[in-house]
Amino acid sequence: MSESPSPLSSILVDVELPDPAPLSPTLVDLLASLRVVLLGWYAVPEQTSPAQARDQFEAPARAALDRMARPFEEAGAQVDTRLVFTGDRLDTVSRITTEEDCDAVLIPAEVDVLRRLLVPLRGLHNARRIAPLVADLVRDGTTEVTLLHVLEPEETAAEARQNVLEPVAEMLTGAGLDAELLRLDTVRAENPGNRIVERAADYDAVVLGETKPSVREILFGTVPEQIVEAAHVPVILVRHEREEVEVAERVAQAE
Amino acid sequence: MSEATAPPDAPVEEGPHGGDIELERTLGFTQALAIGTGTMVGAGIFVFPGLAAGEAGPAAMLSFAIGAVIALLVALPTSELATAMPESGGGYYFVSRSLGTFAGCLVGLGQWLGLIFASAFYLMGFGHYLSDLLREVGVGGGLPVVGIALGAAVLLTGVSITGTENTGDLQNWIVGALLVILAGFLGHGGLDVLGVFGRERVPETFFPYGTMPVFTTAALVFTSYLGFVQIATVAGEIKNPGRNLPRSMIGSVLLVGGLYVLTIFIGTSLLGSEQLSELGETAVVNVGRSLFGVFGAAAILGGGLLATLSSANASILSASRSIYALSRDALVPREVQRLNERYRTPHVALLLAGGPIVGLILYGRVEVLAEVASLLHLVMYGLICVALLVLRRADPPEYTPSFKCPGYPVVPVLGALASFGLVAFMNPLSIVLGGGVLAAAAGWYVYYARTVSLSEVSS
Repeated sequence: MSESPSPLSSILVDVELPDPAPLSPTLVDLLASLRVVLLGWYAVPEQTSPAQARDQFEAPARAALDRMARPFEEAGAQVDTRLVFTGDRLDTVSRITTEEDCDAVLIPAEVDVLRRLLVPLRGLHNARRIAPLVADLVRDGTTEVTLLHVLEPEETAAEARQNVLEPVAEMLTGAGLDAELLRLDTVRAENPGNRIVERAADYDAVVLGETKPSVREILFGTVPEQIVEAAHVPVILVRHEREEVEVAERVAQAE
Repeated sequence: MSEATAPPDAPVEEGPHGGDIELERTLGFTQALAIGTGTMVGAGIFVFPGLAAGEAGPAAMLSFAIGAVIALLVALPTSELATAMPESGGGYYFVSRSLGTFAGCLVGLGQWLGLIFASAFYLMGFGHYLSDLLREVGVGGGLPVVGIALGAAVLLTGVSITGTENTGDLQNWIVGALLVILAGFLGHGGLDVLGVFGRERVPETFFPYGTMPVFTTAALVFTSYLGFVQIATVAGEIKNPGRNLPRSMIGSVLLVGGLYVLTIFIGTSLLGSEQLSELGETAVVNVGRSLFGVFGAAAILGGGLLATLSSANASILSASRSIYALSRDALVPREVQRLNERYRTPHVALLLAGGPIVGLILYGRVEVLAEVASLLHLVMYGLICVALLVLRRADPPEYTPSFKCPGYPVVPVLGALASFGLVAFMNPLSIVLGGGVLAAAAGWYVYYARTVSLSEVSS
């Protein structure tokens, strides 16, 4: 792991306390090569002051979060835990993702084995954040990575290969990914979202860069939700590049 | 150490995040404004116009304006204190941390009971509206107001204990819908009254009963201005409190104050204060009817139902927050802050609000309920202003408000004098009852809480 020149990519994994849904061991292993920010959130109804819930439920919440952190630690991951009593999960996920400067957010699903990873792209948008994260993810060298570019109406497959797929592939191999494991693919679709959801069913997990400006909207986004629901594969949502995120968060804060 | 296991008489020391556990702030400006406005607007527009016009005539406008000025004189100091101590507990927290445990106990118990009186009052208003609605559509004729209010009290308490769906968004929508309805009515009504549509105004002198009733009415209707300080009771949950607390408190007072004055102006101009007075709690329905016919009456009835119910609900939740703040400081038994394991709701505190509300509804005199609620709040408001004066003089290093009360020291001095002064204009029975409640709070302090010492200002 010491070959990595840049700091590890980081991912936010949020779990509901005090009875979190278990995460598949395969998923834990996959994420163990990243810095994992494990966010335990305890839902507080609006009738209750979060402080009041904290006073009473602190101990079981802490214990449950520690239980969730253990498999990551055993798999060798660098884990940071955050424990929040909240009336609004999205507010909390959004705030912690920004504070911890996470590169990605996990939407979990059951998964047995991880052989094939789908990385849909839309141009070079976000590639500087996606590429190092994917390279970190598959560092054990057994997972095949497919870069899939959805063509713009006027774009040819050859252009896409030259302008998008090959530069990203170069970033990946530059970050240490074995070129043997890379597949480059393009697809033409009326509705890119639907096509990605269809394709996702053939893979074990999806790394998706988002087009929406904030984490809040990422989590509400329909494509990742559909992937999890229709294709039953976990999604790793990669956030926007930093400047864009900051602008979006400032807008959200203004409210 | 978890505070739940602390010995019952130990003072509680608390940092903003209590160790490495974080508490999310989830209320933005709009939600904070909706809490304040939603708590207040139910009374001032949908219950008081008839009662107020009956006592002061068109000059009831001045009564509402006086109330708004007093509320503003208190909202400014409260804003400063709230930005310095953005902790849940509101007025109780500020007063207990600056004037000591006794004043804190008085204000805390007074705020809790004041909210209970206010909630009973709003539910009586709800009873009047539902009873009128049923009469209007010709079913359930003669369902007693008290019966409806009782049912609503039990239902609201039950839903608060068992409901885990957040209704915060609903509250926003209700307040939004009310403001739209009111803007329509007040806009059209205002133009109508000014003669744009050729209507004759009911000719009337401005002070039909002299100037004294203007002040007694101001004391009566002050219940319409209790909501802004409820924003401070959830200060610990408001995002960017330095900015959102002052804006939402001052904004909600200005907003509802303007609406109240306009409502009385239009109501007395269209129907005359005598007729408004005869129509009583639901007089404003007939103002609606006079402007837009059956549709207008129905819209105002619906608005009144929503507004009174949301005011009552907000007050029950605030009452539960208030008693929690006391329990946390060991001024009342710790059992009060127990949460229900299944619903995670403060069932003990909610029952301690719902139970007394039922008792007060059975008592049933709307004006007295309203005045006692106001009295208990006014005592707190006065002490909040005193707390600001004390803190500014002592100037402890931890005291770093991000909002500074303008016009210091004139504003807090006037705020304190006006708050205490307004009590003098209340009906003697209300003064006796309110005084009795405060005496009981003092008795509780001597009996239970005398040994508790609280930390000074912490932020």
